[in-house]
Amino acid sequence: MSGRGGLATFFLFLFLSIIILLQVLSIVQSDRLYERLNHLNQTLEGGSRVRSVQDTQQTSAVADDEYPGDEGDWLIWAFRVEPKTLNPISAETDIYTVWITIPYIFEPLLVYDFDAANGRQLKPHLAESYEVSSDGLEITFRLRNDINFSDGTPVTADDVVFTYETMTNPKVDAANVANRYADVLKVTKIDNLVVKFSLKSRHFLSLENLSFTRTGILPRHIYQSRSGMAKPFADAEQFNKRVSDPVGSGPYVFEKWDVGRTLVLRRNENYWGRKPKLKKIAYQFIANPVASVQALRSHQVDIVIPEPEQFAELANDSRFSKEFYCLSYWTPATPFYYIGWNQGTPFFSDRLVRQAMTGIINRQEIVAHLLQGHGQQITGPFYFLGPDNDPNIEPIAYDPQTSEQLLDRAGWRDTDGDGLRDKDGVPLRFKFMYSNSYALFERLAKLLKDEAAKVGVEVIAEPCEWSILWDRLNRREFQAYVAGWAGDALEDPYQLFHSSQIGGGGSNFVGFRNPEADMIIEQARRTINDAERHKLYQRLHEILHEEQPYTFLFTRPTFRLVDRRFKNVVVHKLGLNYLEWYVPTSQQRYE
Amino acid sequence: MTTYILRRVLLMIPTLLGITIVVFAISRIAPGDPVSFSMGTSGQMDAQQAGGIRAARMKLYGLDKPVCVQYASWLGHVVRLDFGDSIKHRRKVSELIKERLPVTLTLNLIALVIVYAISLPVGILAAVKHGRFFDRASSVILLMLWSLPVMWVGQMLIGYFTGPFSPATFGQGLPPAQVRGLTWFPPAGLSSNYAEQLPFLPWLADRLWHLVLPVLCLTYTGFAYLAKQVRAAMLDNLGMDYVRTARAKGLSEPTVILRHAFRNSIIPLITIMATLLPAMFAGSVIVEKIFSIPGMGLLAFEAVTNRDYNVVMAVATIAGVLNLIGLLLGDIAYAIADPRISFDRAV
Repeated sequence: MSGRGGLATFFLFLFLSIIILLQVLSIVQSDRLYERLNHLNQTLEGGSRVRSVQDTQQTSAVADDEYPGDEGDWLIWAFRVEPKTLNPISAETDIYTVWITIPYIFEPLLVYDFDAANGRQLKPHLAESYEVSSDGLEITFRLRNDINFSDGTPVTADDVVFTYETMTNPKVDAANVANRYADVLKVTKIDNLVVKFSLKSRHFLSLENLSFTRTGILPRHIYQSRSGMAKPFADAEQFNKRVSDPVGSGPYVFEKWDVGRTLVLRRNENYWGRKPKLKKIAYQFIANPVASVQALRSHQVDIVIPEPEQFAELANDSRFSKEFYCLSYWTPATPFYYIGWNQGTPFFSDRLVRQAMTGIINRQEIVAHLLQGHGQQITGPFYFLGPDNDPNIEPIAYDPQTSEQLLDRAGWRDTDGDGLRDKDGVPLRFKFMYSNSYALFERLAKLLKDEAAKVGVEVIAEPCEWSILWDRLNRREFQAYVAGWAGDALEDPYQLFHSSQIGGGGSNFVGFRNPEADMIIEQARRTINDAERHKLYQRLHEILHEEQPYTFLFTRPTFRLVDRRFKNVVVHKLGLNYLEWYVPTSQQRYE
Repeated sequence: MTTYILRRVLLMIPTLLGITIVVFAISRIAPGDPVSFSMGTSGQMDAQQAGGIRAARMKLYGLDKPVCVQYASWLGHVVRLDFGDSIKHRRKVSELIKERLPVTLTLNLIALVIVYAISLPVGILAAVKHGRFFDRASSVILLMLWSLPVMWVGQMLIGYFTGPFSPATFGQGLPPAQVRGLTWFPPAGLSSNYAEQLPFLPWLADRLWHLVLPVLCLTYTGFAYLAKQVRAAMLDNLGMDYVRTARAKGLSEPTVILRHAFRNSIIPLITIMATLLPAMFAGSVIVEKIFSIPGMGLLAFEAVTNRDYNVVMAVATIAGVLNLIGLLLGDIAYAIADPRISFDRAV
C-alpha cells in the first residue's frame, strides 16, 4: 500500500476519531449519571416515600347477562414467546399456554373474582355450587346442568374425573400440575353432575387446585384415546402429543395455529354463558421487544407487554398515550425480587451480617432510578397490597453507618489493616451471582459492590447463564445471588422458607431455618379460614423481616400497552379481563 | 477420482460419529436437564414430592439410563433416520425441521445471491483499480459495514424503519385504517395478518416486503469478506505472465479480466461456497431472533437453552453431514475448476 490516497485515509481517520469521541462521551455520560445517583442518594436518605398505587379505577358495571358495546373486531396480542402446546395439562410452567387457553378455551369449576378485595377469591363457574366438609377433607362440586363443550356435548362429572385422572396419570407428561394433586386420596362421581374429592390432608389451596384453575376441564370424549373407554386413558403418549386443536367449553374456540407466526381463536357461537363481543383473539409471536412496540404503533397488533424501560419512556410520551392506553397495575401474581444470602457461609450465617447487608442497599434509590419509579420497595415475600402482608413493617433504612456498627458487633473487623473486614482469618469477601440476561441485575451488582466496598466488604460480581445459576442454587454452591420469585412460589411460602426444603433440591436455597417460621408455615397450610391464615402470614412476614434470609428488594407492576379503540378496558384487582372489551362499530378494523 | 470420492465418503462415517459423540457428551454435561426446565424454575410445592415426580419423568424420557446406553439408543434410531421427539415441543423433530427449513433457506438464498451479485463486481473493480480512489473508498466502506454489529444494526433498523410511515402522519387523528397502510417495513415476522387470503402476486409482495430488513442484515457483513477475497485473488492473477500475454496478443481489457484473470480467481470462492451449505441450513440465530423469524437458527438456539436434547442432536448431526458434504463438493469443484489439481495422483 502506498502512502497516498489522501481521501480514503482521511475518511478512515475521521471514522476512528468519531468512534473515540463517542467512547469518551459515553464515559462522561455514565460518570454524570453516577454522580447524579450519588447526589440523589444523599437527598433521598431516610423518609420512606410510598408510591400511591392506583386503585381499581372503576368496577365493571355489568351484572346482567350482556357485556356492553358493539359486536365485532379482533384483538391481536404480541407475545414474546410462543407457547409450546395448547394442552394445559402438559403445558407445565408455560405461562403463555395458560394465558391463551384459560378461561378462553378451557374453563375451571370455580373462577377468581376479578374484583375481590383481598386477592384470590373463587366464585362459581362451571360448578354452580361447592361444599367443603367441616374437617376440610372432602370437597364436593355440583356442576351446572346447562353447560356444553363447544361441540355441543354437555359437561359432566365424568369430564371432571377424567381431567383429574389424566393429570395424575404417571404416563402423562404433567409433572408440574400433578404435584398439586399429590394429597388427593380419591375422586368419586356421585351422579352425573356431582363430584367428590377426598383428601389426605387439609390445605388452603386445595379448593383452588380442585377447581382446576390452572387447566380447566377437558372433555373426555375428545381427549381420551379412541381405544379405551373401559381402561381409562390407555394411550398417554397420544395425549402428550396432542399439542394443538384444543376443545373446551370456553367462550372462544381454536381456529388455527401457524407455528412461529400466529395463533387464532374464534368466538364460540354456542357458548353457554355470556358471549364476549370480540370476534377473534389472535396472537402474534414477536421475540424482539422493540419490534413488538413498533408493531403496535403501526397498528399490526393491539396489545403488547412492554419492557419496563420501554414503558417508562412511552408512558411519558403524550402523542403515544393519545392512541394507546399505557396501563401499569398491580396484581397478586406480581413477582418479587430479592437477594438471597447463603446461610451456610461463615458470614451470612449471622443475622447481624444479613441485616447489615440490607442496610447498605438503597432500595428506594433502586426503585427511583434503576426502575424509573415503576416499582415498589418491599419488606417480605407477600403481595404488598394483599392481606398476608403486614403493612406496618418498616423497611430497614439505607444506613451504611448502622451497617458498619452491626458488622463490628458481629465480630467482623479489619484486624490486618487491608481495608477488608475479617474474622478468624476469613476475609468478608463473597461472590455475588446473577443471571447475565438481565441488565438490571448487572447494575444492581455494581451498586452493591460499591456500597459494600465503603463498609469494608468485597463483592465479586459473578454473572452467569440462567441455567447455570439455577443448577448452582440447587446444589447450594453459591454465597449470594439476586433473583425473583413468581408463580407457584408466591402462593405458599412453604417451599421457600420451610426448613424441610433446605435438603433434597427444595427451593429454600439460602438454608433458612427457624422453628417458629416452620410451625407457622405448617399451620397456615392447614388453616382454611382466610382471616386466621392472614394473621399467621403476617407473623411470618415479621420473622422474615427480622431474620433477613433474603434482602427483599422490590416488586414491579404489570405493564400493558393497548390500542385505544378498545373500550371498557377496566383494570380490576386481578388485572385485565378482555372478555368484556369491545370496539365501537365505527372504529372496527377486522372482520 | 471415483476411488477418491469413495474414500472420502467412507471417511465421513467415523468423523460423523466423532461429531455426534462430542455433541452428545457436551449436551449431557451441561448443567440442567429438560425435565427440570419443564418443571419450572419458579419453585416446587414440596421438594420431596417433586423429586419423586421428577424421577418418574426422567424415566418417561429414558433419561435415567446411563449416558452410553442413551447414546446407543439414539444412534440406533438415527441410523433409521428417526431423530426422535422434541421434549419441549412434544412433536417429531423431523416435523419441526420440515416446518422451519424452508424459511431459513429462502432467507439465506436471497441473501447469498445478493452478496455475490454485489461483492464480485466490487472485488473485481477494486482489483482493477488497485490503489486508486475506488479501491480505497470501497475498502473503507466495506470495513465499516463489516464492523457494524448485526445486533445493533437490526435494532436500529426496527427502531427507525418500521412503524408509522413518517412522524407527521403519526397521531394526527388519521383513521387507523389509513395509518395502517402507511408503514415503512414490518417490524417482525414473515407475513401480514391477512396474507393467506391474498392472491399470489400481492402475497409475494407482502412476503418480500417482510424480507427486506432481515435480508439487509444478513448481507451487509458478507460484502466485505467476499469482496476482499475476490480482490486479493484477482490481484494475484492480474500480475501473472499469462495476463500480460493475453494483453499483448491484443485482447480487449474486459476479456482479459473476466475470461482469463477472473476464471483463475475462482478457487478461493469455491472454498467459501463449501462452507455455505451448513451455514444456510443452520440459519442465523441473531437475525432470526431480532426479526422474530421462525427459522432453524431460532429452533437450535431455543433447543440449546431448553436442553431439548433430541433437537440439539438432530441439528448438530445434519449440520455436520452438510459440512462434510460441503467440503467434499468443494474439493471436487477444485479439480473441475483447476486442471492442475488432481486427486488421483495423490492417492
